[in-house]
Amino acid sequence: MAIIEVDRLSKDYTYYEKETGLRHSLRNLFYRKQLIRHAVRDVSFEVEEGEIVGFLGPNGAGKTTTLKLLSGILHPTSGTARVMGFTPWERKKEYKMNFSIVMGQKSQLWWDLPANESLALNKSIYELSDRAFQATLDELAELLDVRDLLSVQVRRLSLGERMKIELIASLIHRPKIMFLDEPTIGLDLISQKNIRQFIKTYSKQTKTTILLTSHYMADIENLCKRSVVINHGSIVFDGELSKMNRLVGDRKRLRLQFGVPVDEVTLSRYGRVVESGEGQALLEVEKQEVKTVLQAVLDVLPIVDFNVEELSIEDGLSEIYKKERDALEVGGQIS
Amino acid sequence: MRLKSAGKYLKSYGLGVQNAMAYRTDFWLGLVSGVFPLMIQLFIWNAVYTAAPGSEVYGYTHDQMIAYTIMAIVVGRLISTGFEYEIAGDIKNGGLNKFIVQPISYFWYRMMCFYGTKSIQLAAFTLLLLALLLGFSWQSTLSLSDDRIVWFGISLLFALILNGMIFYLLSLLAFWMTEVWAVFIGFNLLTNIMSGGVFPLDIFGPAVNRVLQWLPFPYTIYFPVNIWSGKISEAEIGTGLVIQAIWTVVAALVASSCWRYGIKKYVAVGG
Repeated sequence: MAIIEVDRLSKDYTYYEKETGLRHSLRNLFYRKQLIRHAVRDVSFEVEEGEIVGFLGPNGAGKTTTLKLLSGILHPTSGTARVMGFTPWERKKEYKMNFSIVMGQKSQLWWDLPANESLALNKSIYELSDRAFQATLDELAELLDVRDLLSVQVRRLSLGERMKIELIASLIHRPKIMFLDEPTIGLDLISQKNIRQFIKTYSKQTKTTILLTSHYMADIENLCKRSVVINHGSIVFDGELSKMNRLVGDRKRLRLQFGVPVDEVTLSRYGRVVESGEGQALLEVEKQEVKTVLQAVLDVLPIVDFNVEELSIEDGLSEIYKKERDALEVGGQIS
Repeated sequence: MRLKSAGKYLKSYGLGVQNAMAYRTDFWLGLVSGVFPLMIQLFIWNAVYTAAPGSEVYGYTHDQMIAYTIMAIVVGRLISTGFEYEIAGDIKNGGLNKFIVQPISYFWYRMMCFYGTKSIQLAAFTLLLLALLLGFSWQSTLSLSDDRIVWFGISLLFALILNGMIFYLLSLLAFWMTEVWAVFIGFNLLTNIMSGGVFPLDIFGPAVNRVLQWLPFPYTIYFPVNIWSGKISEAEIGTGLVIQAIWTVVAALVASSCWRYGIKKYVAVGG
């Protein structure tokens, strides 16, 4: 049985239109136009125990809202979710004792306390025995290499250091499920890598089920076999990341370098122009046409150098986003 | 609260204690800053009583009035909350998330923290009082009678809990309003007056007083101060304590249903 079952979950936010200027402000006192934003629309998926699933999507796609729904912070507008048999927004204590959520942008630590006191507070919140607490703390502090940070006041820690403590705080009660919302946001590359490495090792050791959101591709590629791509509140892809590009068609990109500049109109005869200028261009063509197009260009255009590239996952993603946007525009409703 | 989960609230209490220690200058400055309104009032009352020497004003002799004014300011400081801004901040900025996902009650956390801070302040105040009584023999100025001090202590404790509940309830307003500062400041000012924190309530005349008696506010400052000064008879003390308790329960019930509605409205900003 799946440990997380989400069925047609939706969350709408209502908000008010606010135009700039005093005149509008005055008018808003009497009349406010109410708008609805569908942050999450009809989202359904299942996660098996021990799985690491990555949520990908641009800002405002609904990734965080989904995690907030699953952790019970928000009530959904419609739909159901069962996590370990609990309905998250009932906020049962037994549920809270068995999951945790880490938000990269919102600290759950106690700012005025030294890190170890903040952790000790979590110990009593989760009603842990001294022994269990100490054992977990030792293990995690070792893994994350933060021994000497524990006595520092949380507000004095750097962002990367704080995130490590944040992870310890969220794992101190050994949750079965962990929601990670942008755990590497704002971190430098080395810190990102360290955090990633930790999550990888930890999940391998403990078989904790992890749902992770990020807009750093590297996080997802490294950690998750399965990805759920979400955009405008709906799931647009669910599966193995490496297979995602097939969704947008099997295509390749030709990077061309010219001796003399070639204009876009000429280029567009050979394929879709992704970018051009400064004596270079990037063309996108169907996989089976690569050879013919390449021959034609080599014959006709002043090519100095060329390269055939695979579409990166990022490219594939932006294709998916674009496709969906086009579809919406044709449908004529962006809500 | 079950015994097993008592630990986390004991810790919360400890946090309040630590907080009071860390911001002790703040507390003393607050107490000292009470000197300025006190000075103004002393001038006013001196003028009033010089104009009519030897008489009582609103049933208070000169000394009683001065004692009331001093005690009202002190009690007002001792029961003042301040957590309403933190709660509103938590609601507005999403700090509440932490408490929703962790097995800890926000209400008890806040209250225990508040009691922790207040314990230290009360202890400091008691020491100061003892010093004044013993060192400067202020006994007569503060018109203190021995048997009343116990009742005063109890009523002060009740007042503290009641005031905590009232302001907790007020702070939940942040679920429905994004900017609550102005409301808090206005409410603080108004309730301070209605509690007798500025003048004894007798000043407002019997009609206003009859209305005020039906509100919880007089039971936060006016009531304990008058126990101290001996204006309230022994029999009335018991009634007053019961009314304090009733208002506390009422405020707690209202707050708990407001919380239930509010938390559904809570949108957990950001993302």
